[in-house]
Amino acid sequence: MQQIIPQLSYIDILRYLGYRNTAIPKALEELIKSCMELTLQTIQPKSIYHRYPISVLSEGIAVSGTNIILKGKSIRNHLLESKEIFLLAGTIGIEMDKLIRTKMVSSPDEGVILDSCATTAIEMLMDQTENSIRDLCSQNEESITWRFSPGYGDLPLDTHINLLGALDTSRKIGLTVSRSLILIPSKSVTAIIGVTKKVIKIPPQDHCDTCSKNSDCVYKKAGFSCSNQSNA
Amino acid sequence: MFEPEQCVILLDGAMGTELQSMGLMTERIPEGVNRTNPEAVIDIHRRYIQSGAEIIYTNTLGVNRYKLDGSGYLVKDLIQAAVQNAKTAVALEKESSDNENHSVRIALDCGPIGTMLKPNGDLSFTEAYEIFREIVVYGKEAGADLVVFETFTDLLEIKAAILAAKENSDLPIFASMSFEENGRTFSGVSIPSAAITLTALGVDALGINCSLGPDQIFPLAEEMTEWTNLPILVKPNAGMPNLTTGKYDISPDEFAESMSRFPAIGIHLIGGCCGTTPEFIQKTKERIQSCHFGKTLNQERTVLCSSVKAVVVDRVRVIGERINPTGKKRFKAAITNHDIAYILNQAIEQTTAGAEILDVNVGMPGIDEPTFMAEVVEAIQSICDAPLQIDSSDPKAIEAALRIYNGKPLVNSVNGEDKILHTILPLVKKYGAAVIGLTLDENGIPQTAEDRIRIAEKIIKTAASYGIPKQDVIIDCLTLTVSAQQSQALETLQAVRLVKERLGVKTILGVSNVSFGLPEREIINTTFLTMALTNGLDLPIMNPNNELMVNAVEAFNVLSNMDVHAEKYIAAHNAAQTAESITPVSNLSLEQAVENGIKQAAAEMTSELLRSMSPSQIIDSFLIPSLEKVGNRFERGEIFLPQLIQSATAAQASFEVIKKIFAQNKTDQNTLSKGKIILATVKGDIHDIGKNIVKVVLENSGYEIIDLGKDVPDERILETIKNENIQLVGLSALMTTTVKNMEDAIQKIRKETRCKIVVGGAVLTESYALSIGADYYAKDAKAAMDIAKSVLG
Repeated sequence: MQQIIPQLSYIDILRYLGYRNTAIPKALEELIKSCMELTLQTIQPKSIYHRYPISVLSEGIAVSGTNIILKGKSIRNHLLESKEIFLLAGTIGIEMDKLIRTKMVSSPDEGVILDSCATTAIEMLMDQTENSIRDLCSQNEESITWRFSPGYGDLPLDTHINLLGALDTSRKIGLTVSRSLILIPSKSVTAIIGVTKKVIKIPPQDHCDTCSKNSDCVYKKAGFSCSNQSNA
Repeated sequence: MFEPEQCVILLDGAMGTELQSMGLMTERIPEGVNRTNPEAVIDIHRRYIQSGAEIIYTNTLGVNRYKLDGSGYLVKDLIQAAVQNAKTAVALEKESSDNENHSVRIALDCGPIGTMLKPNGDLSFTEAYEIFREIVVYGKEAGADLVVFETFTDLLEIKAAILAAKENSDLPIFASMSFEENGRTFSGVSIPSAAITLTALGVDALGINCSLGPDQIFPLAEEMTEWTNLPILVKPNAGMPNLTTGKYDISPDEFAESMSRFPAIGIHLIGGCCGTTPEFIQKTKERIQSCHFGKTLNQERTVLCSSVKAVVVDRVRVIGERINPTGKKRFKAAITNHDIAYILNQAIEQTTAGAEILDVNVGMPGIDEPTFMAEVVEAIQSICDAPLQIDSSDPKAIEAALRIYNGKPLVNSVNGEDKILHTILPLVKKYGAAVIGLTLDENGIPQTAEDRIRIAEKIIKTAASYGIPKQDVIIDCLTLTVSAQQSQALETLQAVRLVKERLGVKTILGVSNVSFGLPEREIINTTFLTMALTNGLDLPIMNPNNELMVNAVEAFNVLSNMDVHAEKYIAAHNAAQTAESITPVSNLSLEQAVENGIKQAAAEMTSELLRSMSPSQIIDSFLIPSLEKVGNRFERGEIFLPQLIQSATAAQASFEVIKKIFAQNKTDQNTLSKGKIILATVKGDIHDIGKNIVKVVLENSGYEIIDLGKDVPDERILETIKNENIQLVGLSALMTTTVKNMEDAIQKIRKETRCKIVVGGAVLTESYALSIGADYYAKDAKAAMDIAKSVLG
């Protein structure tokens, strides 16, 4: 459950900060590096996953052994090839929220950089977790879909509640959800991954199709994609 | 009800694990089984009693109003059923047991609510309290013998639970938290902070459960014994879970073997959590029968804590005095303008400068001190690890702060007056604080050290009568102004020495008063501080930003052999030398300083320019145009977000210099402003970083920002718009769920005011924003600047 993120991706941090290939003053570069260091010292990356059979019901996809019904067309399409799924959840912990909150008061420039470092960290944590699942599946000659989170497409955000309950995240990794369906700690992710028998190749723009910002995405305009899967 | 000095009391093991193995954990509310299948629950309880458990926990860990919402179950029904099941099990076992002395007690089990309290979540302390109150009241009615709060990770949440139990029942209370291997809970609570706070709150036993196996908990339990003299309970999991199967990894015999180490370190109450079964408890009982029981009582230490940091008064600890409006015009202006961010900056500045405890005083005529005090304490503890000293002459303000304080604070203060002693000391005891006793009474400040000691004795004695131990009373022998009463400085110092020698308590002094009315005050202050330290002063209340005084403390710690090998001194002063050598001499103009985001240069240049220019000239000719230029560069993509923020904070440093001058001249700061703007993150939403970025940029573009914070009720926004006659309000929301709340807020504002509304947030787009009724959509801070300009000029 406890994971290690050895290093943060500098280029991802810049991307989350809206960087567009301009000169970065040396002092700022040093500040970003020190924020990366501080982030690595502060985060407590933890993730958890579990495999479940699924069955298609009229009201949605039922996850066996839980009270989860995955509703909507998007998740149904996503899991077309799957009979089993992984539910996964990850968080980098509450200390990072506190650090960002503090820095936004005393030095907001560090605050926004740390926020991007934290977003980078949770993405890296989820990538690592996804890779563990992929490795596990490849031993059985299975493949997996990309990770699909509540709030994507028409999969309701309140899916968080039962998903967190099924994985017992509040006890196991300290991840809870607020009454407004905000994940707490704020740099956290829940997701669903389908297990498939054959290799699924999803072109990256598919991520964007399910995003509400697709029409006026700042990353897209700048020629990037955010690949941001969190609510961070 | 317990006599744990003589024996170990055996608790039960997991309920959920047993229900799961019986296939009864499929419901969304697992505790529903108390009603749907009471026989199964009774059977599990009985098997635990048969295995030797002397206290059994009701099957109610997750029963609370929040979790049951929409399930069809009621808290009252499930608690009644669960307690009844436990009672039935006890009665049946009593009937069939040969041993008549075998008495089993029933603990009402209560876990965390399942959603986080502020500041991390959106649940208020009062809401949490109400949820726990309901549970305790029904549990008591149903006939539970005690209440157990377990598996908590947030110290403030378990404090709400404990207060709910104390104020609504006389049941004994066990309080147990879950720690990770690093010795912290998920919310960062440390073992010392948990132990100190729970002990001070007057629970009957405290401890550790869940999360880890016995071997991982052992060192944590051992650490806990160093911070409390109360009975400690330990309920570990059956080892660590296997990641793929979810099964726990140790056998009943291994568990029992590991558990047999606990009595020797003085652990009184032993049981099991996830993965343990009656067999685990039975094996543990057999194994610990032959155990040696050990316990050494701790020395009585004076210690304060926040939820993450404990400060033991075992050497000189600096208390920061800056959060106090007395004699500080800029601070008074901050209180009047509800500028919490200014106060928070004072907190951060002081702890960075080395203060280990912070005094918090927000008393000023014309404010609602209890409400504001609680708000400030809540805000400070959300960003600052230092324990706080609650400083007020209003008992209501003290209580408001004590109630929501997350840790063990220090109350400033009581004195020898009976009325004050009997008003404040009960609060100190109830909320688990320490207290400062001023050596004065109805007759004023005694002239002699002897008379001051007599008052100190009275305070300590009265505190003891309320159950407040001596180590939690800190005596202030009172610093008088040497320019008015010169002979009193030596009297104070003598009193400090005698209080320590004769009464054996810690001492505190506000140092800076001594020099009032004299030139170059820090010379007098520093010398008096050094003299006081030599006479035994433990806690100087002072300005930690004053380098000379901090140096005096550091030097004292070296010379009194407290700072071993002068490590801290060397670290601080080597660093200082390096810092000096790399600070560049500023030769930038104010515009350059702002455009390049260099704070110190901006502040220096502003002071320089103020000699020849008016503040409004500086703002209009330099600050605003520079920031506009930076904004345009940001818009064109020539610089990115951190650079925009750096420029805004450089402008902020400049504004701060100007505001100080305005405060000194008693000029209304509003004359600086081009208009007031409200910023708020809407109800239900706690992601406020976007709003905070906009705030930094707008307030340094010449607008006065009323920042209502996050999770702001619509009514508060509306009320502020009306009271302050606001023309522009900015709302932020991150999630689709909270955009709905944003829409509600917009409708309410529309209905009653003509205020313009700008919105922003991750899921919003221009068309979405307009469709929910906003006037403007700001995609980023620069867009917000442009909108503010078009609305307010």
